[in-house]
Amino acid sequence: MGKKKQAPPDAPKKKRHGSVESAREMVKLLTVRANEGHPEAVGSIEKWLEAFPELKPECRALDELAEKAVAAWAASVGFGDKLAEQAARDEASKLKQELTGDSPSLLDRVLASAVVVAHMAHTRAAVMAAQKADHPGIREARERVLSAAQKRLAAAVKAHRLLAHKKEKRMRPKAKLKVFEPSVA
Amino acid sequence: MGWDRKLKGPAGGYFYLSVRTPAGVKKVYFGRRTAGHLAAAAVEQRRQARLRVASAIESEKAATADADRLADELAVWADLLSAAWLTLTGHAYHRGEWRKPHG
Repeated sequence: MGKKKQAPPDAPKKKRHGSVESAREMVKLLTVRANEGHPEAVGSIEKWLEAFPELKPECRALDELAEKAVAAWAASVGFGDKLAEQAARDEASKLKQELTGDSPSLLDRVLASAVVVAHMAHTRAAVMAAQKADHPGIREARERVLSAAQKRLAAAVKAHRLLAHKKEKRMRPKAKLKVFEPSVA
Repeated sequence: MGWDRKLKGPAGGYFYLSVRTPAGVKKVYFGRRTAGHLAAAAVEQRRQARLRVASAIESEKAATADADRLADELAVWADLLSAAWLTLTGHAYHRGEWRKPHG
């Protein structure tokens, strides 16, 4: 009886199947497996990042996602004032430029955008918490939002600084992956 | 808590209030006349105030719901890609920190 040759379970399929979420989950799972000491998972991460069809368009759309997030938070920080909204956008763009440098990779841009967005969310939460509340319950809810925004900002800054520090030490993946190479739009 | 209708009592019932004490929850009787109606009105007033606060909190949350969703999505991608980068450069996640094992 002839056995059918099967692809390894962690290899990306040629055909489109599954969603962006499942592809994302797979990369996450493989990262966990690699951390648990499965060296073959490292190769699979490379394959999924490079070859999985669902991830490619999403990777291209990540810049768009970052732009949308910045625009949404600029509007929130502006509180309906168009001038304040534009000022928030300008500040965000300046901050992102400072964080990414001249030839950022997609990863650099995503990490910098996460910091920028978390900074804007924190700004809005701080403004809201400073406003007079009609009821202690409202004040407590605003303080909870501010606390969550502080945590999110701290985590984003920590992730950005960690990778910047590693890159300063000239660390880079062995395989050349588009998402980690400079100037991929 | 509320209007308790007894089988052989008046149709409107008697107003009771549950009060938390160190000994446990106590059911306090206010009756069916003025005291009962005043206690019921006070309870209703407090309920309305709670609803107004909840609605104010909800509308503040709703104002940034879209922006929050986008920020969360971006954070997920940032986590995922940086974890992949760190794994591919030989790092391991251990006790909340990414470290490069020696040797």
